[in-house]
Amino acid sequence: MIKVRFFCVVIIGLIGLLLTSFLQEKQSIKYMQVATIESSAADEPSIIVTFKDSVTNETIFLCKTKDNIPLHYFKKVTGEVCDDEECRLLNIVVYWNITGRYLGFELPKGEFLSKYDHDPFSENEYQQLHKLLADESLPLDKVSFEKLLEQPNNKKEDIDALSGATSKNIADMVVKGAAFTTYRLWNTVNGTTMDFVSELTEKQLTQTLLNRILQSQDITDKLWALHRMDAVIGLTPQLEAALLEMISSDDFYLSYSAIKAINSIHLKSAELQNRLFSIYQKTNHSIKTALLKKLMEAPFLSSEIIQTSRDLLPQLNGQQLDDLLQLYTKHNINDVETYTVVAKILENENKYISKNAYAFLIGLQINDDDIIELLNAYKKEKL
Amino acid sequence: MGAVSLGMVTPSLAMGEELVVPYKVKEESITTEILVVGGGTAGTIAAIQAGRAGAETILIESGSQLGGTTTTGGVAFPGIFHAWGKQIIGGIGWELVMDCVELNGDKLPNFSRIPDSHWKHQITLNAPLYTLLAEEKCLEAGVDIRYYESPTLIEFKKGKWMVESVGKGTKTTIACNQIIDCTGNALIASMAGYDVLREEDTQPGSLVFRLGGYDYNILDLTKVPKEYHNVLRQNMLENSKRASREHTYVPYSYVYVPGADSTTSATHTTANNEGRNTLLNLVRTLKTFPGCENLKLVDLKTETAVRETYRIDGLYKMNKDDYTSGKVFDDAISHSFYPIDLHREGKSIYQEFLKPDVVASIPLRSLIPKRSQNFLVAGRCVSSDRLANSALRVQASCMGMGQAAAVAAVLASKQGISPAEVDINEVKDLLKKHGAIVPTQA
Ligand SMILES: Cc1cc2nc3c(=O)[nH]c(=O)nc-3n(C[C@H](O)[C@H](O)[C@H](O)COP(=O)(O)OP(=O)(O)OC[C@H]3O[C@@H](n4cnc5c(N)ncnc54)[C@H](O)[C@@H]3O)c2cc1C
Repeated sequence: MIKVRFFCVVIIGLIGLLLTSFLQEKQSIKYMQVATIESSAADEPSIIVTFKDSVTNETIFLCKTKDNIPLHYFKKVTGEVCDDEECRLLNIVVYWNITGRYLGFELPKGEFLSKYDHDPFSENEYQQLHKLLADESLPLDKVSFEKLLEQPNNKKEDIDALSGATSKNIADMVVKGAAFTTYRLWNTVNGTTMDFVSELTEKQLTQTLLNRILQSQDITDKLWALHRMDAVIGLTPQLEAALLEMISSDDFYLSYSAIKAINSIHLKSAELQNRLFSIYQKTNHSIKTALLKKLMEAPFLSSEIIQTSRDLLPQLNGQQLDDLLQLYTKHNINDVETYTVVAKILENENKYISKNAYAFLIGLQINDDDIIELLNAYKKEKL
Repeated sequence: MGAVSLGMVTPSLAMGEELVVPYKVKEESITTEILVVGGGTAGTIAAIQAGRAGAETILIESGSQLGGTTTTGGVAFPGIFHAWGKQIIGGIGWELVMDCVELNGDKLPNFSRIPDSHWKHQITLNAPLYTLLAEEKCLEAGVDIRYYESPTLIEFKKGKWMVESVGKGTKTTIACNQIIDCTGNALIASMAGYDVLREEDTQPGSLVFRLGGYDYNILDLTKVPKEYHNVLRQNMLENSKRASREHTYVPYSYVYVPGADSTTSATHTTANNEGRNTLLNLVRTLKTFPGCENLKLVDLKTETAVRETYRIDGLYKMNKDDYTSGKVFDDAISHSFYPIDLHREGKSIYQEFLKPDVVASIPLRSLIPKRSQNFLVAGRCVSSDRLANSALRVQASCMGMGQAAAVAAVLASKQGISPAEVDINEVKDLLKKHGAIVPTQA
């Protein structure tokens, strides 16, 4: 009895195995990276829109959800690739994320890529191609294919500091036996279409879409969205929360780019200013400087910042003090409480610090006898 | 008679001209707390830091502008301030770099992404602008800059250094509490009698230039001898800008100058002569190739930039393993991040990359010569073995050292002691206060 049951399980297993390998064979070859917007049930692609690429004149397809959220672009690449006078047909679909970042490629059912000896690509070679296409830093756009082949092997002399086009050996940049296929696909993926699709998305940007892109797992997508924050007017609470979270991150470049993404219109909000300043008090020195520079762009300085920052004045180093006093000057902060605290700093034995206080107070042209006396004394003794 | 004899000894003066009494070298004695010698990559930062920490500071620079190798030498792409997604060197060096980037309207490389080549995280600077900003920051910090000067005598007397500094028509004796040698060559350390070390064979220097007037993409390379392909290609990189991507390239062509040594006027003159001569011959040769007939020398840096000369024999000598293992010293005052990067006889580069998440640190002891008093160094003459030095010498690390050396010097000056005697926690606290990133044990 046990034997029969075991036999049945084995048979069913075998059938299952056959069935999946059959199905697998029928599936197209497809390699995809993490998408900017991973399609969830709500985002099932439903609409395909076409565009004409203004540079290449080819048709680009955009896949959108029924709610008009763009998901990805794709293009069919067909034609001959010839290496050493041997030619093969290329038939492949390449995908871009909505930010222009390479997403992946897919071969129509039954199609495969082959090398110059007609050997089909192995799994490893598809993986390698996928990785190479995703590496937009490869210098494959800088030289013609012929020039590329002429390049000497990687010479270490080229690598000192900066070299670019010469720093990689050609063998590392192409799939062996399929140099031209790699070159052509890399230039398709990383060529002008990349910018074209990115610009198409830019034209469709809404606050919701920007927020979706900011939620991408890929840092370059987040940065893409941050660099385009000006495309929308005003911040929704979600966008603001996303920005503040990024500013608080310990990834300098992300934080710096998120600060840059805030503009003077956003800074009309005193609440946003206050939130930024609460980050100032916790963050590192480089980001502190960037935050104060940003607040210089605000149309006014929130009263909460004026009060809170005043208490910080005596603890700051000279450069930070200078940054903050410049912010006050920019926003004409000349109230008694503030200048009284600054006047105390004239006593600081560090001349670099006291000089900053002096320069600020002189600039205010205050009519307060006590302060004038302090300034005169400072001028006499320390300048 | 009077008129005639007068005419014989006095040159005839045109309207508006006046005769000047013969110049006598101006001699004076001045005092300061901190003396920084060398206003290069490290020294500029050291001087600003010392001034900002409230110390009277003099900066002697033998050239006419600040920045040293970063500006005068044309290596205007300091690295590396970020590693593995985090900022590892900040402070005054970073502030200066950022001010330059922002004023010039440049973009930073994407530090969030770990690059395929380390140099992509270097920051391309507008060098002339950098010199202006560096000078402004020094002056704002109250630093007394003395260009065109070089120390000729140095002596430690009664707890103070007496330094004779000679410049164009000046001879000044400077009495100071602490010296920071940022000459790159440990010249002042050597003059003070401290041991300095040097390899028998040093890495070549480079004279940096830029060419124009030809199009690499239409050159028929079969008609150009192979050894010239690199220089023609390297020079064209600027043309490959694309707006949608990060770009950190600067045109950077150079000729190697074997044995280049910037320690003395005589050796640096030789290095300049040789570099310029090599370049001139190169230009003449390149112009004979088809497609290069209109080739032009578009830019040439003022002097041959030097990679390696002397290093001090410090209280601690950093070795390659310290560097590549990312050892965090108890007295670590700055990070450093670069591959081991040794140019061998100008023919190849030995490179060894740091493993993921590894960042090196620099101990304060490596900035203090053995048996020294009131003396520090910062920059590429840091005490280290040759391989460690090949990575430590990069600019962000030099800036980090400059800031740290200044903080240690200022504290030592205020307390009337030598830098090695200062409580290291005080050094670290003051560094942090001034925005530096101080390595911490994991
Ligand atoms: C060709 C080349 C390529 C490099 N590539 C890179 C790179 O890609 N990235 C990177 O980060 N680093 C690079 N480096 C390394 C780095 O630039 C240097 O190691 C670093 O700038 C040295 O800094 P420093 O302050 O020690 O010396 P320097 O910057 O050379 O400063 C020394 C200063 O002292 C002055 N001086 C010297 N002697 C005297 C004296 N007797 N009296 C008064 N003043 C004096 C000099 O005029 C100069 O201004 C490169 C170096 C070279 C040469």
